This record gives sequence, C-alpha cells and structure tokens, in this order.
Amino acid sequence: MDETLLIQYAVKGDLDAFNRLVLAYQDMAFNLAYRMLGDNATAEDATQQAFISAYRSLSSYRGGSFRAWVMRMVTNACYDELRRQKRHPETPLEPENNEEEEIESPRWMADDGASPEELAEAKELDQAIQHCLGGLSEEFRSVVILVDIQGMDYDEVSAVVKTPLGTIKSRLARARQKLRHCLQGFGELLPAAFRLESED
Amino acid sequence: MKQPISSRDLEQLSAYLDRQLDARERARLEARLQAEPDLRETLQGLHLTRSALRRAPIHRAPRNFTLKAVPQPQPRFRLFPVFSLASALSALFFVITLAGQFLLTGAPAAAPAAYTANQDTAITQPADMEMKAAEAPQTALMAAPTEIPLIIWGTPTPDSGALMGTGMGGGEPEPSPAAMNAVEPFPKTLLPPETPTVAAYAESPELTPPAGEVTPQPEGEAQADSTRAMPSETPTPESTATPLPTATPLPTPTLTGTPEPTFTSTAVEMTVAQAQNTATPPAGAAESASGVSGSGPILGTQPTRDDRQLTYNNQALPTHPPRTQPPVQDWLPLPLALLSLIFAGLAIFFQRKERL
Repeated sequence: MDETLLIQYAVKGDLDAFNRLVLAYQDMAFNLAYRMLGDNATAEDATQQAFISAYRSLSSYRGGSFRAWVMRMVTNACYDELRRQKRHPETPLEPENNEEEEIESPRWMADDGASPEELAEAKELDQAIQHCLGGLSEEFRSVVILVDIQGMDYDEVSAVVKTPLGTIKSRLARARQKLRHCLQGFGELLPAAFRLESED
Repeated sequence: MKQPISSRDLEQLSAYLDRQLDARERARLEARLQAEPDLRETLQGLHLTRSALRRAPIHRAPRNFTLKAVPQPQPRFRLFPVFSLASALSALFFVITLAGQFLLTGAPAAAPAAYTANQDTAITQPADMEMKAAEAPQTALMAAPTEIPLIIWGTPTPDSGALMGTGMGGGEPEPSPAAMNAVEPFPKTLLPPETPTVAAYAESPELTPPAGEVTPQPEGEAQADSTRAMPSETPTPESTATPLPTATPLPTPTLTGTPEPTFTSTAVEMTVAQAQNTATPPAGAAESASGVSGSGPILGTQPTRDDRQLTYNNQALPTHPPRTQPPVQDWLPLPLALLSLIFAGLAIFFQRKERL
C-alpha cells in the first residue's frame, strides 16, 4: 500500500496502518537510536517510546517526508534519554576476564553466524565508529549519523533536527573532521581500506 | 609545517564530497585542490571517514515495535495550564500593584503642588482684599463670618504678632493680661476703611448691614454679653476702638437684594470668638469682637510665613495630608515579580515537556 495512504489511515486512527509504517521504519529507527545511545536495551526503549510518541502526535504531522518526521521522533527520544543519563549516570556492568579485569566490549559473546575474520573486522570497525561517535556532542552526532550512516540528504536532516541547512553543513563537516582524527587513533584495528594516514 | 585548514575550507570539502556545491564553487575548489596538497589530503581523509561510516554495520531492530493497542496517555495532572494561569495571574497582580503604588505615590506628589498654588494665590490675596475692602466694605464684612480664620500656635514674632494669637494658652479659661497685651491691633490696612458700625446703620437707613451682622441689642444686654464674654477687665484695642452698639433698639436689619445667606447672631459670635482668640479679626468682625472671647481649645500650626497670608487663606494648607504608604506595598512587588518569573519558568518547562 502507498505510504501516503497509510499515513492518512493512521492519522484517522487506523492502528494497523500505523503498524505497517512502523515495520517500514523500525530498523532505521533502531539503528539511529543505537548509534545515538550506544546500547541495545536503551535503544530499544527509545525506539519504542519514539513510535508511541509518533502515534500520539500523528495529528501534528503536516506532510513532507514521513521518514524525517519519524526520525525526528527517534532523535528527540534519544535526546531525552541522554539527558536522563546525565541526570542519573549509571555504570554498566561489564564482564570480567580471568584476571578480574573488565572486558570493555562484551560483544564476543554474540554469534551472528559470520566468519571469524569478517566478524572481527566488522566488530572492530563498529566498535571504533561507536566509540568515536560517543565522543561527539549530541548535535554533531545526530547529523553525522543521519547523513553518513542513515544516508539521508541535507534537507531531510534539516527537517529532522529542525536546524537550518547551513548549520547542518557546518556540523557535518566538523563532525567528520573529529571522527577522522578519532579513527586515526585506531590505526591497525581498522580494515586496511579505512586506515587513515596520519597527517603528522 | 602544515597549516590548519580553515572551517570554511572544511565545510567546502565536506559539501564537495556530498555534491552539495554549485558549479562555480565546485570549479573553484577543484582548482584549489590541484594547487594545494594539504587540501587534497584533508579531502581524502574526509572521504575515508565517510566511507567508514557508510560501511558501519546496520543494527536491525531486535524485535518489532508495532503497537498492540492504542496507547492511552497516562492520566496525569497537567501542570502546564496551571502554571500558565498562575503566571498570568501573578503578572496581573504585579501590574495592579505597581499601578496602585504609582497612584498612591502620585497623590501626595500632587498635594504639595496644590499647596504651592494656594500659597501663590495667598500672596496676592491680601492685596486683593485690601482693594476689595476699600471698594466694598460690605463684601468684606460678609466674607468675615464665612471664613474661619486660621489660628496659629506659637510665640508671636514681630512680623506675625499682629495676626497671630499667642497660642501659648490655648484652651486656657482666662488668658493672662500680658498675653492679651501682646496682641496687637489688627492692621488698619487690612480693615475695611470706614467700616460702618451698627450705629451708622441706625443713623443711615440707606445702609443695609450685611448678612450675618449682629442684631443690635440694648446696651444693657450688650454690656452683659460683653461682661460675660470678657472676664478680663483689661480692655483690648478692639474693645476700645470698636464702639458697642448703642442702647437704642433698632429693628433688625434685613437684607435686600442680596442672595447671601443670613447669619444668626450665634454664628457671628462663634466666628468673632475665634477671631478674638487669634487676634486676627477679619474685616467687619472687630465691631462685636470686644464682647466675645474664646476659651475653648484652639488648634493651629507654627507660622512659617506672613500670617496675613495664612490668616486670610484658610485654604492655603493642604486639605489632604500626605498619605503614608502601607508598609506592605514596599515589599509586595518583589515577591510578586519573583513569583511571576518562577511560574513563567515552570510553564515554559512543562510546555517543552508537552511538545515531546
């Protein structure tokens, strides 16, 4: 069914139509939430809260890109979660190795079915990217995720974060530059194709 | 040594990667890239960073986020309307308080102005009255009973002694002779010249006494009144200067063609008695002042300027004393302003929460 028609039904209160829209955007929404928050469980909660808010706020939808509108809900939910974390900081329980030292990344427990080499490479890249994303401010992080990871264009991102286009360009450039410097620190951990030569 | 790339160039390179530059900007940047290796290196670094981000694994939703039922908003006490209303009311009260304070403080400020205006009028009033007294003695005679002369407390000064009562013995039943002697006669300039006496009225039927003129009494009765009113035997200048009505009974004079109200003799006696106490007999009151004396409490103020002005201008003093602000109005605006700000802040806070 056409997305516009689904939106019209959803605005009128058709829950099935809205759920079909949820299924269409939930991966994107969750990925954005995960990149913003860096934690699966928290990203799940934020994503669920974003869809609930979206359903309640359907009457405020005034047309345009529905994807941008949904991503704005997710972004706002992530901002709220980040503010909550700042007010109530938590220390995650990390698994420990035999020497009673915390393992920074417990992802080794997961089994995605990929080859060990691919898995290691993807995990290292993912870990490096997530680490560097975490070092950005919320505003820079959301822009670079939406543009470079989610593949949205400048106009959509401008609609998502409600920021002028010029500011989007500026934030994106500075975020990329910071990520570039951050990823250089990983050096050999990154795949050869992404190893950045040092400027110095 | 490499020079740090400027933010402008960085934005240009980032937009160039995403093909967000127009043709002219793109051509200019490409020309610079050919000439500047640092710029090329930065562009390469940004390109690799963007490629790494695009290659980042996509985290798929671990579960479906479809809604099972229509989520009902949790019934909660919406504070936003409450604080909005409270903020508006607080601001309204604040404005009202400020306006009230302004009005209250403005009234006393207007009183001195009126006082000054009256003083200005008072300065010219004695001269006017002299002219009027010279021109129309009856007018002055009629004005005397209607205006209650101001009684002034304090020791008479050489300047004010002529018009100011001693005030030292206010309420004394019998003023001392010294105090009585201290009272100087009323200046002739303030008295209407050739004020016709009752006897003159009697002799000249054409003269009509003004309203409020004392009804002539027989001499014996008048003397009795004089004795009763003046226990002191020391004659005052007024008593000696002003002849008493003659013993010949005269018919009560009537006012003809004058709209002024007729005053009874009692009213005249009261006015004259006040004039006697202050030793400031207005024109026309001196004739009967010798037979009346004041023994009751009198009030007054310390003279500050020419007593003639104050004597003849009983409206000179401000009719409304300066009001003192209630103490609560001094500190009330501040908490109201703070309350308004707090409520406004809470309203904005809850409004932002509602937007989510």
